[in-house]
Amino acid sequence: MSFIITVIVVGLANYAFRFLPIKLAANRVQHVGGPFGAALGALGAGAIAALFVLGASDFYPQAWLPATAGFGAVAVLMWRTKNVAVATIVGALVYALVRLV
Amino acid sequence: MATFGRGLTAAIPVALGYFPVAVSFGIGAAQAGWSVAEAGFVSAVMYSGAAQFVALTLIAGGTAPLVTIITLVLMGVRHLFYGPTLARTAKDATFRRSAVWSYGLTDEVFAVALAQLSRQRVAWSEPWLTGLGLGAYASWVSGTVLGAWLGVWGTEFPPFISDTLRFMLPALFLALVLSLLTKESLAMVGVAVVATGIAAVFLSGAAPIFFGMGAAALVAAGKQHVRGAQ
Repeated sequence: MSFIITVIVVGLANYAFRFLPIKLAANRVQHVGGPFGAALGALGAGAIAALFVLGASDFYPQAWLPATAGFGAVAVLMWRTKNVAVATIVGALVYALVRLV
Repeated sequence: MATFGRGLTAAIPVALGYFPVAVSFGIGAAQAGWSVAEAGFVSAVMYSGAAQFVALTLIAGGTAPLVTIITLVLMGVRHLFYGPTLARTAKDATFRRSAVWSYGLTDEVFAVALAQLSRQRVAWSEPWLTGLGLGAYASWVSGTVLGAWLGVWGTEFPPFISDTLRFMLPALFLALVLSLLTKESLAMVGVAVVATGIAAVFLSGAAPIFFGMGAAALVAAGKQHVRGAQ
């Protein structure tokens, strides 16, 4: 029983964290300017950069060569095509190929 | 017009990256003695990758429910910033269906949505966000169920395929970071990367993300302040 309660309470908290700020603040933050507005606008890019660092760190140092090749492929493809899906999938294929070799 | 179907298509890289991680979670859950239904229930209700792996360790280790709940709830605090950050890309939009699409607002879904909306590759659309979230959610839940089923039978996902698919998530984040990169944002992103890297040496779990977000916000606010003073 405590298993079900734990899962439901954590699930509800996660949902509240995702939904309530939109419900309560979304319309207000849309037009916030100045340094505070700039900081709010930067949170997303900062989060994505942080998620990249944490995700990539799993592959270093043990798979540094295939990971570096894969990330290199992503960078080149983003530079040439600007297509996120293509760059991601080709990057993973390059990772797999180098890992096989 | 960005439709529900286009949202589902945009979810493909996320879904491919989620699947092997979800399978791993399902296998771990089965090995910890959970049934297929229990593993699926956790993924469907909790829907938070890192927190679920921690939940597996804590629950299987017999940690007190209150301690487990507090730990897992704290891990989700970073999501507080995602909705308002997305909303800033949607000037004068309404949020009538946010109760639905916000359920799927994970790190990866947020990252894809923000990158696409900021670069104006798609216009603000709640059906698009719903499709994006649903594609990722379906992959996560189905991967968990498959993993738990494999785990019950003592089978595992082939490591090579699993490892390659696992690489898709950091590859996706890199592509998204690069898609947001401009001359203006270069310093901000660079500082976020360095701050996260340093924080990750000392802290585990999702905590370093706050340092990356905070560093980026400080740089952006500082630049705006200097610009305002000139």
